[in-house]
Amino acid sequence: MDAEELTWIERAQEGDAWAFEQLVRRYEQRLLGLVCDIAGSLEDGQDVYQEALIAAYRALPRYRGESAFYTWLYRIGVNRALRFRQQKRRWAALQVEETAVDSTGKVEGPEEALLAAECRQQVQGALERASPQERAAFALCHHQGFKITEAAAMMDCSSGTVKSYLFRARSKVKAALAAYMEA
Amino acid sequence: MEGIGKEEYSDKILRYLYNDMEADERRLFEAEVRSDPRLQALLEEEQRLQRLYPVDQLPPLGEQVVADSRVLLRAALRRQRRRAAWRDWLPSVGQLGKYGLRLAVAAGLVLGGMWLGRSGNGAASIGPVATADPVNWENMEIVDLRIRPAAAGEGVQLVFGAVASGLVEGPTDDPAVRAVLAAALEGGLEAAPRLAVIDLARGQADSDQIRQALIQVLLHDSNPGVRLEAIGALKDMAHDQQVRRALQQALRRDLNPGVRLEAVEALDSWRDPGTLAVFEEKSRADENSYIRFRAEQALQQVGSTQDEGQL
Repeated sequence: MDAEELTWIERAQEGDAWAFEQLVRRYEQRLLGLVCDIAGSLEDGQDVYQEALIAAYRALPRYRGESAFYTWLYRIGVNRALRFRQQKRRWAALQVEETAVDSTGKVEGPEEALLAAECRQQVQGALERASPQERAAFALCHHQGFKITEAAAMMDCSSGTVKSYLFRARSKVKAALAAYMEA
Repeated sequence: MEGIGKEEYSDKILRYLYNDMEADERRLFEAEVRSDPRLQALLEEEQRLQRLYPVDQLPPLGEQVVADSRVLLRAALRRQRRRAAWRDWLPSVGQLGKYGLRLAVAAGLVLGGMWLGRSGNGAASIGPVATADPVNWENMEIVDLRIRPAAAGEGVQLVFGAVASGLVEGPTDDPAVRAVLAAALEGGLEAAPRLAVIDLARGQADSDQIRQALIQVLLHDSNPGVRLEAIGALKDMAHDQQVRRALQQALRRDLNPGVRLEAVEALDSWRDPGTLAVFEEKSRADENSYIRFRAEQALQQVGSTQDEGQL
């Protein structure tokens, strides 16, 4: 945690909303991406992300620096997204939606792009069938590139539990991509 | 190796694939893989997935999505601050019953004012501060006092604004001066002082704080004259994607044709896809014929240049 971040935290803890905005700005793109990933769509992800950040703003006075700020912030984001996902599973039959990945501007060759898009679609389909925790573990470790220990801190569980979720998520993804993997 | 179960293999493989091993442990694992065909096969299977669908390869969200989320967050934080102000007030009301008539009169104090006076459009930038707790009146000026009978039937209710005075002195690019200007832009000033603040903020849009405040003004101020001035203060910063997006939004959505026209002018030299899409839309569908003409003109200029970005 650098000195600038510490200053923003202190100011935000005193209720300075502008300082809070500055504080989250360095994590916003990845955190928003993660929350959208777990929530399952850009639209839902935006709502969950806003809800998570407001929860973080309200909880910030109680933050004592026991973990890195980004771990603390991600934990709130992951919790909110998991809660949303659990509710969604209860509410309705799952449906594969076009997700945030389509709103990006990544440039690839036509064949690569087609293959990548197909794979992403298959992976999204597989993750729709995964449990919220499996989905979160995969989003954190595979999509966001966090280490298992970091993911465990963000999901507020042990590394062993994350590995178990991750293993199950990977099995579902592998099954969905079996045809591509053999090719 | 026979003693090692599949679960332990999986554990190690996952830690290896997701970079959760120290360098030494990693080297040992790689040696173990070379000497254990079963482990090698399992790792190879998992690596096939990594190759087809690599780690950390999900493209990042687009800038526009992130910029939208910033605007939403800012609005949510403002709502949050209003709610917090009310929450602070409610407990003190709940204690009124304990202290009899005198305190009931005192507790009837409702600070209905805003820190920076009244809003031009009736919307508070910061929620009412209402309390029976001690307030440092020496540093406050009471304005707009209204006296009513207390809601409980006895005593009085005093409704007023309590304004604290402040003084900041320095060049306009001084951080403290900029902070006050940004707060003033987002606060509840009347239109005339808001215009004066925008005038001071002109040339300060390189400050993130001022720029954000000007964008808020452009997108949310109720007074079209103020929005028009905000465009004037922002147009030199149109190379900033967030500013350009705000200008595009103003051109697309503002109800006032003067503001839309000013937005067309501010975007005139830009040819990025977002701006072109708005020009395209406006050239067909704006209710104002001159804006349609200007958008069409801007699009025709594109035909004569292949460059994207600024002309």
